[in-house]
Amino acid sequence: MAELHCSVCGQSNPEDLEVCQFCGASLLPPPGAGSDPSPAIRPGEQPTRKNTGELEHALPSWLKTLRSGQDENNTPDADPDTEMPGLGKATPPADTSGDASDWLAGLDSAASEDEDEIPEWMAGLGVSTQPSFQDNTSELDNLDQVQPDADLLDLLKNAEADLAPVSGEPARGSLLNWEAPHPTTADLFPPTETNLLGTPAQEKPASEAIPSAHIPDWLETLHSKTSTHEIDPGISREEPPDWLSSLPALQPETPSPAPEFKPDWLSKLQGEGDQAGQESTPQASDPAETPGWLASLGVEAGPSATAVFTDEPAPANEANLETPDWLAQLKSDVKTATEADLHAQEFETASKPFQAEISSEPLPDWLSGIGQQDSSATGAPALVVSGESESPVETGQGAFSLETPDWLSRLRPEREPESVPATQEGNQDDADTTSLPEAELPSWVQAMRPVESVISGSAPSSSEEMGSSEGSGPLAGLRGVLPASPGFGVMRKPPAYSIKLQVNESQHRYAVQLEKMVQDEGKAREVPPVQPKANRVWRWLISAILIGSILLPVLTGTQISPELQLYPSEWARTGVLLNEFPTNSAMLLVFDYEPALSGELTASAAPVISTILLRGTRVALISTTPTGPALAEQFMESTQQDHLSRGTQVVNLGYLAGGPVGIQSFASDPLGTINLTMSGAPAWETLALQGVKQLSDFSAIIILTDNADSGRSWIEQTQADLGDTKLLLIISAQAEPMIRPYFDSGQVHGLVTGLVGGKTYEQSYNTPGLARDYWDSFGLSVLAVEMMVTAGSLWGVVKAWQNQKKNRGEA
Amino acid sequence: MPITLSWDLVTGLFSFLLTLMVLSYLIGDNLVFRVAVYLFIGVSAGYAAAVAWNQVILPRLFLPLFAGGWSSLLLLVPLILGLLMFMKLSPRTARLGSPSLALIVGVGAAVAIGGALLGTLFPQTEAVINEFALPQISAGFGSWLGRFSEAALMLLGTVSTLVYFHFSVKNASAGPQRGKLVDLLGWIGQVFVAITFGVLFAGALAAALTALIERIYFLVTFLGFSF
Repeated sequence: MAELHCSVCGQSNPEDLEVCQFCGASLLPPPGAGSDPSPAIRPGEQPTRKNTGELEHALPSWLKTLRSGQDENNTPDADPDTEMPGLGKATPPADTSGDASDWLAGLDSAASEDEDEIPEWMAGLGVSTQPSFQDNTSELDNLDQVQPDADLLDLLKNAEADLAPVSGEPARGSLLNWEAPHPTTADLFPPTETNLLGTPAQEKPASEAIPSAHIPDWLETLHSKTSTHEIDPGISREEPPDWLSSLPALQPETPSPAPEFKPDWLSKLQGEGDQAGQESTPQASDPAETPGWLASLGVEAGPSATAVFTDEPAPANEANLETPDWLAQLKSDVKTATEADLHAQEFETASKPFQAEISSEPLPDWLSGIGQQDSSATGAPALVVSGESESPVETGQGAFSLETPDWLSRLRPEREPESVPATQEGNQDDADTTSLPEAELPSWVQAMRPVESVISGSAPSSSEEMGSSEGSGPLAGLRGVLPASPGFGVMRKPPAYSIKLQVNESQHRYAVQLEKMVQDEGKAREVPPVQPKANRVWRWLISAILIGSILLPVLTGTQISPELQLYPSEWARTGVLLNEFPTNSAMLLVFDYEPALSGELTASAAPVISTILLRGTRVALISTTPTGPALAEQFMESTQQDHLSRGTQVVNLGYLAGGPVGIQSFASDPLGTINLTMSGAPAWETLALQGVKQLSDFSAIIILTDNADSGRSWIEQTQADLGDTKLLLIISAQAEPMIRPYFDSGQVHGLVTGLVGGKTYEQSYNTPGLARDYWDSFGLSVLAVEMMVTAGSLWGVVKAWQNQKKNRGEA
Repeated sequence: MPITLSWDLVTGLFSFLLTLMVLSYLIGDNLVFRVAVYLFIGVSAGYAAAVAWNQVILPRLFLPLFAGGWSSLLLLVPLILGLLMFMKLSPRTARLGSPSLALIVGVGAAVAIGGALLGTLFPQTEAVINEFALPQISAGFGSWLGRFSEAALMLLGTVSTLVYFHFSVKNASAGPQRGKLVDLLGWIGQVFVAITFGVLFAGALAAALTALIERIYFLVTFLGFSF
């Protein structure tokens, strides 16, 4: 009689059974198996060869070799756990080691031929991706690293919230599949979606699938005990029994389970659970209590799970018939749990997961979930809710193993036929879509994958990573591309990949420079220290010295400054000019200075003009500045009042507009340029200008200016029209450096400069005037200024020397 | 002695106050000093406008224009050009005043350049050359030496100062450099320029001191005259 091997537990079943009598997994061939060109390879079945010749060219050479090796070594009793090609450190079971070594050898050789070297990260995944329960056992010891206790507590809290509607009907989309009846795809999705998601439609409850004969006695006893402790009849049978609710209350009373019957790893797990329970709910950390996930693992996995929790594989009969001592102790504790009702309320939170697990009749829901889990575990999950929603097998493979990329998962050709029947079970109409050949990535596409990607956070299970296989559309044949249902259930945070940017040395250098530039932009520029303003003390001191030096001669009336012993060099020619000045001639007197310097020019020009007027000279006043005519009037009235009173002819021609242009115009055509006086009378008809028709008719042109440019303009523009007219400049001291070259060159016939020039003229003609009044103050103040300038210069030299010495000392 | 109020006293007192207000700048910039400055600027501008109207525009433009005669119609040209200058007040019509401004700038530049050439450049160059028109040594070596020294110093100062503003350089291995002779003359010219600046400072200082002396003397005189 032919036997069927369960794809989940591997146990032999009679051929007429549709459900595994040990684990409840469906033994039916996948829907559409007859028409499926690539039916699932079940244990004990020969895989049907499909015609994929058109895709052969897209396969890498090593994969071709791998396929050929599999065809040769594909045996019906191939262990599904050895489907994953051992990448480096695979430890296949002993019975299939020989076969695996063959096709692995082909893989290695093919890989070397194809020059597609396996990256290090893939090699590192080789061990973890091996779906070996032996490895998972060691990984369970490090459960806290895979799933922290906080996550477990959050999971329990979510389960508590989800168990609220359990009273009426089984919670759909419950977070914990092991604590509630596993929802069927018909409940979750429409039939069409169900087909895509791969959940079998004719899925039966585990209670019906598993014969009652296989139920352990302790479970029956447990069931009978729990049924007697129902508190609220209104609560559905999925509600936890009272004994489970009272478990925490018995914690201090119940003796701890015999440590000799508990493996070390379980003790460690309980210890960790105690720590987590103390933080949130102390009742949940009952050492006698078996964690829900552990119970689901231990029961749902069935015979296979036994291999997980024991060091050596145990037969399925032993796992079902023999009750562990710690479970027996648990039963005894339950029987004596009379105080559980008193603490049911406060322990409700922690006990709800276990209520839903144990309260089902005739079999607990967590047992009924076995079949569902087994049937759905090998296929694409209906939805990825959480790690606990996966089947025990998948949990053992994926939850405690590192993430296996989906493209790497597709390298397991034996795996897919096994998953396809489960996903397509009950979906006969979608056989074509689900039987689409798996998308195979060529080597060049694989080369485009991230080279250095690390897994951060907890690695999702392999089944979740694989996801559902798309049946239609542009993504047909790809697995895990689209989520099962967005927003349904608790979505898991996708794994984060950190991709390192590959840069060369020059790019790195440029990046560093750019970063430096950006940082420099943010820095505040150093502002040079602002020079402090002149010290007000120094200002007052200098002012006091100057004013004092000026006031001292004025107030005391003493002559501090001696008379001039050495006349200026220009005086020789200027004196001769003044001495030879013709009498009764017309003279043009130009006032081109600003009122601010009227004091200096008045003192300089007053004695000279006075001397000239003594010769009966007629005077014509003119100015190229708007204020000049007024200054001329004021000058004549204040300094030449005696001459004016004697009837000296003076005419004020006023303002000559145009600057140099006006001067040039006046020099070339005086009558046409100015025809009226300040008073509006005809200028050239006055007595002062009688006989004057042109510029050369003036006997002399005397220019009073404090501006070198103004004096230069008169010199330049009148140069060609002067004729024999003498040009005399009475200038401010500040204009001397610029005007003196014209005097030295002979363009200017006479030059009187500043107060010194006026004093020279007064002293020469012995006519004391303003120059003499100012002379003492001027001499003393100049002396004071010279001393201050000298002292300041010496102070600067000393300070510079000190700074230089200081700098040398610092150096 | 009773104080007699006179025009001289009023103007003198006003001048006295304004002088003190300006001298208050010794304690820093203050309101009194600003009032004096603003007053002086305003009075100067107003006086300048009055002078321009009374002595230029009215007697030389409008009076001849309205006096009649065909020849006076030529005055419409400066009138129009003058009115166009007012277009410069608005940015939208500023271009209309450009012809007037162009005429002023063009004529002014031409007159200034002509005057500079004929009144400064040529005469000054000739003067430097004439400095070496030395008297005969037989007339007196001392006089000849003095004239020669003066001429040489003037020539040196003129040339070295001009060389100092000569910034042409030669490309050398160590970078652009000036020739050694040019560098030496430039340094000498720098000395002359420094001396010139010193003379300018001394002249400005002497002028300022004289102005200060005149003002203080006025204050003392005013106070002595009044009290």
